[in-house]
Amino acid sequence: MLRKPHFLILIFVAVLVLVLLALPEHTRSRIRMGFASLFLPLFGLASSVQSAGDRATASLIPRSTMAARIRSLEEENQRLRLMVAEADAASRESDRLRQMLGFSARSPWKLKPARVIGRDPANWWRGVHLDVGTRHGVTTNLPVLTPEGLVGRVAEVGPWLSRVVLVGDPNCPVSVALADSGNTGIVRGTSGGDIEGALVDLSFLSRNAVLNPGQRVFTSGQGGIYPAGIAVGQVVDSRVVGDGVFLEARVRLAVNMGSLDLVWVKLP
Amino acid sequence: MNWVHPTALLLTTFLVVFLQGWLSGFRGFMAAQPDFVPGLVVYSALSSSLPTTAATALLGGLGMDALSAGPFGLSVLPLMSLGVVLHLRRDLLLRDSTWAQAALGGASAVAVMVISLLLLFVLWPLLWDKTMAPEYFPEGRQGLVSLPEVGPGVIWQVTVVALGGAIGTPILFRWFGWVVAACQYPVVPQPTIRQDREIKRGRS
Repeated sequence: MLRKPHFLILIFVAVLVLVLLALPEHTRSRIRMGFASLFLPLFGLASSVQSAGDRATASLIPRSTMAARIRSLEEENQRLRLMVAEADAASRESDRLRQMLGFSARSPWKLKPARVIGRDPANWWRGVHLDVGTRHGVTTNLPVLTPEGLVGRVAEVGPWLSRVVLVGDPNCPVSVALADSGNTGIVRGTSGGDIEGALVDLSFLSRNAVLNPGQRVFTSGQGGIYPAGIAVGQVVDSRVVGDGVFLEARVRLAVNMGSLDLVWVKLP
Repeated sequence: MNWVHPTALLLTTFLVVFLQGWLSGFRGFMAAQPDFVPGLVVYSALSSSLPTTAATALLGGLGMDALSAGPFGLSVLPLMSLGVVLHLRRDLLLRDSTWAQAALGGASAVAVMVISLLLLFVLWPLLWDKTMAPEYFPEGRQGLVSLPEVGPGVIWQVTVVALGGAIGTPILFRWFGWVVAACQYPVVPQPTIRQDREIKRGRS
């Protein structure tokens, strides 16, 4: 049987939970990030141990393999430099043409590198934690990306860490456009039956949209958070929904969300 | 040393929550994440007092919610309910049997997962802040704006969670058995007949 002090403990816990659930979203978010910060020393320790392990593994790699790797990276570096020079020239030309047409000049992206230090432990949400926060200039709703494409957006931010909601989570809708045709739609949630979470649903496409497997999908820039032109994925297949009013497609994400390590936060 | 047991329990809870957030290899391999916090609550309910069980459920639930996108505090309720029910029925449970520990761990992990999901759906109108979710600007929505999508993949997730709980809970029982044995004075078995109190017969 429960004794009186036990009843008081249970009532205290129940009231505490109800108060937490009834708090406004921003207050709840601040308390959550404060509580999550308690885990920061452990995340830091784990990262240090992982780095030490990586260094120890690197020291075991033969010298010839490392030399071959360096040569390969140097070649890639030269190729990328040439591409950057070409892109710079195209950018200057674009700026000149924009100026002639009276369009405002496009500002270059400011990117902040960040490490993924943890993942959402719940099975039905898709999110990661980054080792950057307000102290590093990060605020909510900033896009997070990798060279392969869009990762998600910053959902909550604390002084030293932030939580990112990944593309494929139902709480991370992305306004996208199809390459070639320019038809727009919204990527929202993981496609039903896909356990790995690599496939997402692209909905609200016009019935007349041209859809081909392998067609690339980019951010449209119309949603207010993500700039246009970031790769989201490729069309896998499509079907007609809503009594023939809309088309829906499955899209394979460009970024492997299961192996995220270094990502970039696009600062305002 | 009464403080050893609750302290070890709370520290282990903190560590388990951290490991579930940090280790992503298992999820990458199995496409689902096992939950060991219900196993800790099972151990606590069967082996310690109700305040310690409440503290374990509170720390475990808030820790999981702090690292998750779910509503902060929601996971405490199923963990706490599990702890109270098991604590009140602990005289009827075979806490020393490995099979009983595994069955309790698996069932508890699934029960906590299902109750959390049900609570999320039931409390959704209270949790959804409509002022922060304008329909016309989908990307700009803040906080929780959509419920999790429950599809066929949930069956696989429930299976992994059940197996994780069934395997993890007996390990937790062994771990705490070892910690308690290492931190407390060994119990000296008392003979039923004390030599110093024995009546010596005959002439001395």
